[in-house]
Amino acid sequence: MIRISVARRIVQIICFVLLVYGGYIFKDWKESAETSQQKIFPTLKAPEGSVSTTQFEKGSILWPSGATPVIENYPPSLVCRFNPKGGMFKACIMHFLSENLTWQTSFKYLLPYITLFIALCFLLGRVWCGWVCPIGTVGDFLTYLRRKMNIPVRRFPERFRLNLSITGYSLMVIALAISTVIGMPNYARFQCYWFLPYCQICPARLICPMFGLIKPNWKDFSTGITTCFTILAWIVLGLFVAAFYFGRRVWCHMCVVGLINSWFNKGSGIELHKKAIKCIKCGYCADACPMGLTAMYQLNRDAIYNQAGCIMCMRCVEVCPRKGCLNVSFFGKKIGNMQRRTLDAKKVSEPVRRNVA
Amino acid sequence: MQKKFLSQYEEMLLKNLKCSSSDSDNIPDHVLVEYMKKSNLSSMEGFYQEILDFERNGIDNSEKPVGFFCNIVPEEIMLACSLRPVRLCCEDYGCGSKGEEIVPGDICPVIKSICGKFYSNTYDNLEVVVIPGTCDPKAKLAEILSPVKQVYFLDIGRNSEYLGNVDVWEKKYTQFFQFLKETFHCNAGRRQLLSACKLTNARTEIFRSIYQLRAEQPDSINVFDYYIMMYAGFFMKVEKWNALAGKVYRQAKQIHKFVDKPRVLLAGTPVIFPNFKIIDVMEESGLKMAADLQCISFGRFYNPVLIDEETEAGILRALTLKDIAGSMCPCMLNLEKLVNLMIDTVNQYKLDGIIYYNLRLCQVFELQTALIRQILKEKGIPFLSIKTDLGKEDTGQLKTRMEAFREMIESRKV
Repeated sequence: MIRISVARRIVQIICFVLLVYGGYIFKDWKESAETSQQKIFPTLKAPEGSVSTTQFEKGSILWPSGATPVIENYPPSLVCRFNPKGGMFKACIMHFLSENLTWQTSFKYLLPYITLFIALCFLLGRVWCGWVCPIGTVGDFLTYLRRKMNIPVRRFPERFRLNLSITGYSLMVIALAISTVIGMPNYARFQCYWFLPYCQICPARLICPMFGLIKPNWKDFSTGITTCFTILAWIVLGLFVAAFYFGRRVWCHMCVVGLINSWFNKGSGIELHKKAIKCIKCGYCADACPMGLTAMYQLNRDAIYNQAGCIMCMRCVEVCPRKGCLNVSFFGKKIGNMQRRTLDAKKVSEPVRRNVA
Repeated sequence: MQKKFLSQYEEMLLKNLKCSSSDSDNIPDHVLVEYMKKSNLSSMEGFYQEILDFERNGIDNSEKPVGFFCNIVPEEIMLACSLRPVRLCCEDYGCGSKGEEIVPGDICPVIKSICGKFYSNTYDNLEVVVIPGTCDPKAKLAEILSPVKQVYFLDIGRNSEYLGNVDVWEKKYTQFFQFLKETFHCNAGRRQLLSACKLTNARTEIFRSIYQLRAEQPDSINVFDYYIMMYAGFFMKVEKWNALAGKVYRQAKQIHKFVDKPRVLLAGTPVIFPNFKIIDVMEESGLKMAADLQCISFGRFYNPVLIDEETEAGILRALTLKDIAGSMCPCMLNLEKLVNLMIDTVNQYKLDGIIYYNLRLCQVFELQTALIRQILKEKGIPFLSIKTDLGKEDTGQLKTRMEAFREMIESRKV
């Protein structure tokens, strides 16, 4: 059986290629996709003459300048925004929420999208973060580079890491509040600058287009607000690179999309089990956890362990030296032995049967 | 004043340690031959030969041998510095009585034997002795040996269930690595550490196979051969040990011997050659040692090094987790997981009982006996606690107790 970390790398790379280069690969798919999904998912569009869309076409900090329209509509430009004209399910929930709050889309149009999102979340929990997220993949590559350069990992205290989620929640509240306010008619004139406030500083906006061989809008000093956003975006990008290069997945503690996913981690289809009697408290699981979680290590009873911070990378299951201590199940069904192959005894025969008179 | 006292103390020790001649201090050959005859595997010969060579000639100076005690001292770091780690733990009656000339008689028998062993010429070529601060006698041993050898004292925090201690251990290991690099002028780094870990992981793999085989069929490799293999692991080169142990495993796998006797788990103090009294008595009274949880075998070989961060600091951290956090040494705070491990091993291999072997005067093993007994009583697992020393006087009494234990197990079965 393939090692779980290798499997995860493969899935990450495939997802990265699909999300970032999907626009090149599925160029002709656009028409058919748009028509077929109309039945289930109604088109979500900006209202007629909305400031946000008209300004968008002229180019704002969000929009890569000089991109041809076809590419613009499809992933290489922005992975989070599958189709800016509306219609398709957005990969990024934060983008989806802010956009529709501004547009004041009726809830009945949003319902299918939200249902699909919640269903996926319940099915997989935070698997998105550990296995799919394209900027997580970029970050993991940075971590790989650091390891090759023999620079020790910087371990942040647990308290600091937990407080990062407070930062993330504050960012989320601020971004959604701004999105709601600029949707009101009185404040509509601010839409051209404040539209999708979180996306303007999100590192994915700058990182993903680079892999799609498109120049992202690095700087816009035309007005005070765009200047602020430009500088903020640089700072956030710097923090992102530093967080992934020196720590492991410290960034994911404050990622807003990850936080929304984490609400569904408890009770999702994928579950981590611990069998306490097998545990020898060696601490390999706590050491290997890229999120730096120690709850799995501290558990002293048999339990299902799905913590909000867990990104389901299953690294803990892989490194556990005791066979059968940590297990993964999908809807109660145990997924085979995920531990390192080399450590199992070669042949497991039946225990010797004895007849003691 | 202090200086004067110290110099006097040193003189006295040097006089004591160096005065005796080295002949006839080693383990006599006939003890080894006795166990060699009991072996049913031809491939075991290599191990016996290695032990004979070691007892006669000691270790060659050219291989830079470094002595150490306990699992807490990371072998991988010494291997990475291309040194030859030699484990010095000793339970020899003859050495023990010699050791009483240096240390008082009513202390830890292992310390006595080690002090006695330094009389012989076996350890003459050691350049450095690494002593960890696990138990109190070990800490004092560092001071006793310091006049005769260069001693490195590896001090550690003893709470193995507190993750904050990992940083402390990592720092200690880094210092130790630095010390070895400076002392032996070698340029070891990440790559050397990785290859050393690969070597010990290969050893773990072979050991796990052997452990599994013995747990199911205790007679495939008999208990004496098993402990001889573990003793040979003290000083043999890892590659050589792996090759020989692999050969033994492959041969033993062919033998299917079904055992009609109760299979038991042996926990507690390590059984180190030539102190095979306990397993001798066990064999004679019809109990089969199927699995063990001792530090020289299970504790040393069972856990692999699993490296998450492949940086130098990351590897050292993984080593601390394997050697200290996962340790079953009674010096640490780990009683809960030790009991868990005992119950789990008994359930996993369907064993019949637990024998807890306690070398007299080892306080830490003795202190936890009552607690273990109480928990196992609740779980309904037969438990026998044996307390004995290096001497052979109480063999008959032990045999009676073991036989009673066997009868108790067998009566439960019916």
